[in-house]
Amino acid sequence: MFERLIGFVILSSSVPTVSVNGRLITVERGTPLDVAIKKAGFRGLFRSVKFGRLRDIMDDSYLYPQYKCVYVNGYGFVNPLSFQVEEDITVIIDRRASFGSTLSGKLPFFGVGFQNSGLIRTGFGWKIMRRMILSSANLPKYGGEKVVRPESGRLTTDILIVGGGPAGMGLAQALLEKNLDFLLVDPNPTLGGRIRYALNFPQLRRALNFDAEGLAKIIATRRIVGLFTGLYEEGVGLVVGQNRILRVEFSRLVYANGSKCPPPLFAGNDSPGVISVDYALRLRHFGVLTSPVVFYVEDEWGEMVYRALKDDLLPVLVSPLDLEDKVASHIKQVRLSSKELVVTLDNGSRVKVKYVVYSTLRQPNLELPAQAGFAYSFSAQRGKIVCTEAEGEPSSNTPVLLAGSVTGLYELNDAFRHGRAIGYTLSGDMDSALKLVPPPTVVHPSTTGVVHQDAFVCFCEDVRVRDFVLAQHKKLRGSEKTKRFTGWGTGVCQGKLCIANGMRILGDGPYTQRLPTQPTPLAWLASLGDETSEL
Amino acid sequence: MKPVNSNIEYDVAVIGAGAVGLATSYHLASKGMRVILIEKNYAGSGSSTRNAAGFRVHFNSEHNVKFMVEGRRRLVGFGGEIGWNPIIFDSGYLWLLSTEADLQEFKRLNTMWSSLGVGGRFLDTREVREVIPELNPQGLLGGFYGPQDGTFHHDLILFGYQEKLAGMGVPLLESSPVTGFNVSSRRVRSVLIGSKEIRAERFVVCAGAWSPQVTAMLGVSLPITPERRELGVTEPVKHFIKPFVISLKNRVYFAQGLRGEIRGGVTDMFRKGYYPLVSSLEWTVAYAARLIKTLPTVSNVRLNRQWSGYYEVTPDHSQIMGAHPSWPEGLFVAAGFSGHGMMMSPLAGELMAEYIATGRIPDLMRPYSPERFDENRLIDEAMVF
Ligand SMILES: Cc1cc2nc3c(=O)[nH]c(=O)nc-3n(C[C@H](O)[C@H](O)[C@H](O)COP(=O)(O)OP(=O)(O)OC[C@H]3O[C@@H](n4cnc5c(N)ncnc54)[C@H](O)[C@@H]3O)c2cc1C
Repeated sequence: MFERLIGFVILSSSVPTVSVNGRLITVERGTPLDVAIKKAGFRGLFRSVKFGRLRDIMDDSYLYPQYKCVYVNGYGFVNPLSFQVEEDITVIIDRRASFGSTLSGKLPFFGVGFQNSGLIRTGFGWKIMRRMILSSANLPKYGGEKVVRPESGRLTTDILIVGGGPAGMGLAQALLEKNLDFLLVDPNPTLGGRIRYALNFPQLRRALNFDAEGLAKIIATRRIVGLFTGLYEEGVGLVVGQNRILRVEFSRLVYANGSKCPPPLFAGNDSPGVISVDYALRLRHFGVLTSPVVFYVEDEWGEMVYRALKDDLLPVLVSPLDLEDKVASHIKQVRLSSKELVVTLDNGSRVKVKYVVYSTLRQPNLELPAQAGFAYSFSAQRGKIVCTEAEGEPSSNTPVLLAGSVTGLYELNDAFRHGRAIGYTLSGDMDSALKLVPPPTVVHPSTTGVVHQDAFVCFCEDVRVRDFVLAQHKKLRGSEKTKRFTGWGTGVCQGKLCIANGMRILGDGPYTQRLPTQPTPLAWLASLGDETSEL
Repeated sequence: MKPVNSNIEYDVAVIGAGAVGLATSYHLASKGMRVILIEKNYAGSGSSTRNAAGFRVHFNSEHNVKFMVEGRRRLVGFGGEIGWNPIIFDSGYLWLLSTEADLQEFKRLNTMWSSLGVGGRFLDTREVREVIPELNPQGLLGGFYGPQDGTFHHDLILFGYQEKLAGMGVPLLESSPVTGFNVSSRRVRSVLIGSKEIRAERFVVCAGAWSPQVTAMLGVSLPITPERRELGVTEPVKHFIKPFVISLKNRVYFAQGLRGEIRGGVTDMFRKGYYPLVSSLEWTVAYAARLIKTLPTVSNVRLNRQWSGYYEVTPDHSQIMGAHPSWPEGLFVAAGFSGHGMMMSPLAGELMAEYIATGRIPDLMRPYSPERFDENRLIDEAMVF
């Protein structure tokens, strides 16, 4: 059910009826829900960012209530910007929804993503456009307001869990049981992630059969309230809370922060097809992981994923472990040639593949330098794939894992089991872990369906499907160029709300995400250093 | 090795599809030459999508000033010529001066700038605060305002050239790292991309910070060193910072884009070498602190995105353009723009193309020849931040 929340659906014939808070209208099949809602007489539910910025768009729950205010019977809470009407539906809108500017609907060039304004030739038109942009009414103004000086501090733990939804809680429960040292970060006063929405909707809650409150109590002593903003070169992370900012050191990091989040793991890296097992699961989920593939399996978790995917992908298995169907023990070198990776194995053979799926608790992406085209090779000494052309290395290589729906695969109870499985894996109890690995549900998104040109892809930067089409016409293909042309994913949400939409349309992998994955006040960042004393 | 495309020959193979490689290819193709452009990753994946997109005519070296006076015309004319508006914003540069020595230095420079027709204005503290009332006046002696300078958007330059090249039928090979060359009788004959061979008359290396890696395949060493620099962008706020601001005392620079975002960096923190292009907390904290120190009003504004890229630095902080008698014939280089190559790229491409097509070195390009390093004719450029 939840899978449909972000999906574009294939169109069929008859005219659906939409009931919006009791008002009945009919719309063309495939109409984006925000358009339908406007048609029903609810004005400008979503503001254009440039001309009506919603400042606090970011946090998954209390900070972007505007995305949670539309409830569709049978679907749950949906984001109307990327939801298309395919059948008769009943919509309930929370009246607290913000009513913003409708400018973007009236003046098409304002709605096409800022960057496209480059298509307006220079000269007089550009001067006027520039003035309009500069004086655009609804950007927040700064100056004279009170600066909140946060409390800053440091924390150290062995395992840091990012996200207190079902996956994070499952993981925390397993680690608690095994007596390992961990902390869990979540911005919400109540743990439970998306399960919390079920609290207001009793049927949903009953269907889930999940004791969020009980668990939250158990792990209450191990949690930090705040948002994790990403892993820095130094191998440390920041947690930004209501009134404080913490520098957190850890030896292992598990992202369990939900399906709306792109794997923050890739922040700051451009990875050319050398990907982690967790990421492989995600790409397959979006239907873009294609054979041929080399699997490098170094641990039990990787083995589990290999087993789950092998029938589909028929991968070449490389592993130092004693595994039945393995072809070689190590990868000697991975080199990018045009569009494919040429992998040399230690038995001398060479294979050409699209992806090298690297299974290890140590995610290789964190140490791959940003440029594709570097050569990678397996370093027996360091026990991992390293870049042979980069001279420097980041100061630290922190092992990172993904748990739950951040992989794009699991929901609710399955995510809970997945989290527990990782927890047991980390504690070394493989038997318990193996029993818990949920089979990945293969969902092939319907990229073949007709997508409404006005459907939003990215709300922060006002990017619609038509902008993607324009990029294609301009021969700017692939995620990186489309991102730069349209501005897709470069707004304050940093792709959390839109990366999946774009990947489906393009059938391409993700672009590079940037730190911090949560916008953080400059004063808070400054408070972490020595230079503040001079202020 | 058996050539794959033995029947195809090009007049020029350009290596590296950054701004400089794209511009060079465009101008060569416009002159009717058969050009192929080879790129390791995707067009713009090097430094050209990672910069602060400021342009200025105010440099320490007279050569660079002259270069950019002309270069500025190319930038401003880009929209008309290529059809993509690079969002030129003639916002000016504002240097914040805090010491008498800085002031004297700028007075000296301004005499030279004025003689070249691009003099600026000295502002006292009150005038500085008329430009940006929110600036912290503490310790401020005044400012220097260069009205000829400004900002633009690099992506649109890259898109414009890509569209033009596609229209002219110039092949752009992406995901195609150059891995070697074939040389015979001291002449470069072909370039290799793995097992693929491309034959051409001339080869122009425009591989930015990676240029030394490419020329090393021919035994040529280039004095270009990568320096990893970081950059940050805040969430959009109402426009209030018009010029591109550089604070010499606080070692920070920033500008506000038309989207409302404040982008900038610090002037003295970098790592030399091909360090992974990730983001460091050390930089983040320093940038935030220095920006607030210069402009206290932004304390609550949130940092939204940050990234890093390489400056491609030469010993005299100026580009290398041309060929050297000791190199194998057919090899040309246009690289090493030392952190100001984006603004120079449209002109640099034009000059390189002219040189390659006619064999005559255009006057503006003459000072940048690779021979200057052994003839001790270094360019006196210190204004790099
Ligand atoms: C943080 C930062 C801020 C900056 N600010 C400014 C500014 O405000 N104004 C300004 O004008 N400039 C600025 N610059 C500098 C500017 O970005 C560069 O000087 C300019 O982009 C250089 O362009 P290029 O085409 O020479 O190199 P690049 O854009 O780096 O292009 C080189 C290309 O060569 C390719 N390549 C490398 N090796 C190979 C190979 N073996 N085979 C094929 N292709 C290969 C690379 O993939 C790359 O695409 C800044 C740079 C940084 C990092």
